[in-house]
Amino acid sequence: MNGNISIERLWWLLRADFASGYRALVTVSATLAGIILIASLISLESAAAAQVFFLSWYGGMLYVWGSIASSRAFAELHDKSRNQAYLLIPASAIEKTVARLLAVTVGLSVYLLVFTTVVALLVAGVHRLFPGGGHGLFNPLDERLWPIITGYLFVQSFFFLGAAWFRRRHFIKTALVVTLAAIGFGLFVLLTLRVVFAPEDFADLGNAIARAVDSYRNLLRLFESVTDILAVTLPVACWIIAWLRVREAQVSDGI
Amino acid sequence: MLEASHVRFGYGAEPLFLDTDLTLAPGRIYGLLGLNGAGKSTLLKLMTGLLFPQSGRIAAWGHDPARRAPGFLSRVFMLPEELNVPGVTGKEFIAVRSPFYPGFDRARMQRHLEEFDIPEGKKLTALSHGQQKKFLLSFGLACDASLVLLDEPSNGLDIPSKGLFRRLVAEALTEERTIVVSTHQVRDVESLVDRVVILHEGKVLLDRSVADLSANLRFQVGGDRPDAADDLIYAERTVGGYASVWRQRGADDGRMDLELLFKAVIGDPAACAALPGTESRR
Repeated sequence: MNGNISIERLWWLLRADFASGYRALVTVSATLAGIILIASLISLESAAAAQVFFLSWYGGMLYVWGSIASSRAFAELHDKSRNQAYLLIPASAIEKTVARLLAVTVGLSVYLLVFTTVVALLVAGVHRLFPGGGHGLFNPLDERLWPIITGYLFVQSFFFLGAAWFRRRHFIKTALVVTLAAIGFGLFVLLTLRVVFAPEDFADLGNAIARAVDSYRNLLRLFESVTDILAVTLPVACWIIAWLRVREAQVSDGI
Repeated sequence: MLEASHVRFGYGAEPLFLDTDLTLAPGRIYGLLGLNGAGKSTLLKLMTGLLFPQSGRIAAWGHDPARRAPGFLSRVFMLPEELNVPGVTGKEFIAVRSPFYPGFDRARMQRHLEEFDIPEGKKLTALSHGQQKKFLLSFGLACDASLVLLDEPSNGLDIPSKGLFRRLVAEALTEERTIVVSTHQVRDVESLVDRVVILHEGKVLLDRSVADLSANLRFQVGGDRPDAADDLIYAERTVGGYASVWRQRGADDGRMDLELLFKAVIGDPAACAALPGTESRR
């Protein structure tokens, strides 16, 4: 038996999670389908605008549902009454982490694509009941979906880490930490600008920045590259730290 | 074989185990006894890797439990004192959990459920506490685990189920399997265990086979207050007279009173050392 990762055990873990979670999945899906249907009737979107309508719904659902689901990914780990059973499942920490990660990333993204497509069909059918009504379908292969999904993967990684890291109120604490970090980063950028452009007239800051962009073009390219690298490495780092946290978890963490 | 050597563990600054040693051999049913807070459940958690020792070493079949390797966990089953079952039916639970245990015996599980009269198609959360315990116990005994740890298994079981529980556990014992029953309900397991381990103040005060103990001790219940004698280890007033424990080599009358034994050992740990052939262990 492979000590670290086995596709078979990964599948068993995913199946076990699905068995205990599918009732909640059905309930949330049915509620969302109803809300989308009502929203489509109120907004009376034209057939042409339907794709934008469903894209925005897809993005909203993925970010909100996904962030909440990610922040609850390790709920058992911090629950005194459930962590024993979870930790004793014969699978490695990396398998348990990957199973939960797959569920809230690939699993949820793909599920919502299928769900939105089905709901779009339902909405189109209902609209046809009304005279002159009509509503376009949803194209799940639209290339505009990629930035939504990749952006979600970046955002969810923080909530996934928060799920493993914090014992309680994972979502709120993660959101707070991310907000504080963003404010801190913003202040740092502001201070840097203040120092760099100290001699400049701040009334003419726009022109000063434009001149600086021109002068430091290579530096900005480097900055862009660093940003791109961080967009990939930060989520991976969050997932790895979450795995380490699961590996080191003890039942006393649930107290 | 599970070996714990020089294990030190505590919650916060307060130590619970101080340099504790314990060896669990296969083919035995251990009765793990101790006062409230003695660390019985904690010891079970250390053995399964749910807690990590602060120092010392625990090893089971070459595995360090704290690593929680799948190969180790698939050989261990622990029935916790506090149950929290998932919101799935018994059938679903078996379908999704049994693949993790290579030796899982579906027919055996079925047989146990029938004997305990537990419906398989009902949601586990809809079962009573006792039924949930019987379901998990059935699952644990069908897992073919080498180490079965039962924490207060008879709590919440009805009277007929207690007898059935003893029979099923006794039947589940094999030469390769170790069963540990941690309990305060000593009467429920008196006829089941074949080795007694008593934990007290971070130490293993007693680790002896029942055969050895019953061959060297005599338990007397009822009668007048016994006179102080060298052979008297413990005496207490009970309903209808006095109960006492006597040192008597070759007693072997088959009677074993775990409750009295426990009180004798806890009441006078030094007497432990004086038991014939007894090795007082830290």
